[in-house]
Amino acid sequence: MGGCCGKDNDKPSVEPESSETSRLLGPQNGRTPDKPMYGDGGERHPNLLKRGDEQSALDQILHNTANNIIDVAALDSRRMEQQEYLDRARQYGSRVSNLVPNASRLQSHMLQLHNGTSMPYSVLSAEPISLHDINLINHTAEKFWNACEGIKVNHKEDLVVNFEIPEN
Amino acid sequence: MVKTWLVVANVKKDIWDLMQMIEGLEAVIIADRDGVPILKVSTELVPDASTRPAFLATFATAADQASKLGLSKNKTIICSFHSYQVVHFNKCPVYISLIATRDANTGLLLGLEPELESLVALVGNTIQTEEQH
Repeated sequence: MGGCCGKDNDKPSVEPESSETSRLLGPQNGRTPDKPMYGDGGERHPNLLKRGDEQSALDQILHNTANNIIDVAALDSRRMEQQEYLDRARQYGSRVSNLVPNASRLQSHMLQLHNGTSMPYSVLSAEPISLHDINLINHTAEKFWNACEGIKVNHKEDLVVNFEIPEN
Repeated sequence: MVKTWLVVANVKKDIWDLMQMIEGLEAVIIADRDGVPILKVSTELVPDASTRPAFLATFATAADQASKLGLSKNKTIICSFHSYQVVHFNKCPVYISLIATRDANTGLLLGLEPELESLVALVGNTIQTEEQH
């Protein structure tokens, strides 16, 4: 089936086992693996060579048809029991904890950015400050600087005064 | 026990740090095709409905069914709602869902795919390897 978007649309998946019905965990969790919704072609397919040519051709057609059917109702057929959900979530939790510590760290270039601002992209993509504002800041800073330079201290009395502590 | 807890905590912290880089990104969920979360990092702003397996699992099925319409295999689905947008990446048998506010930069969200790729592959492999043992 030819797609018009992307250069690798029709390439087979890198991992042949990663198909529409492949799952992370095996069927021992009390649930059978997913099958095509129509017909039982999924079971017959591997045994095609053992049968007659005509039968295997029919099986092949049935299998392909079952795979090509657009089955919206399949959305509801995948609902799972609460207990199964919890069991599987717990199983994933324990397995994820076996990740190799160093290899599992994210090697993202985004994380190598300096931590000065939490959203660097939004800051960098923001509108630049207008020239008028920059002039205003420069002008104000200059006035502050001049004002600071003009500050003079007139000595009137000592800031630190010795208390007269009576001597015993 | 403490060590294993630390590994998960470190992974979640990395994802959290990544989330802080993109304004409006509220959750990163790595789940299986049935919507059972494997890793979930989210803020309190994420609506509960979007993290339920019924919602997360819909993507896997929708991507499969949509591929039969003639668009061939698709790897990403972007759903835009009134207040939120959800970006799904198909890394079969693992699926990534990014939940962000409507105003978040969708291009930046899509740019997270290669950033998360190695982690997702590692998570998938680890789970499947454990399964075989």
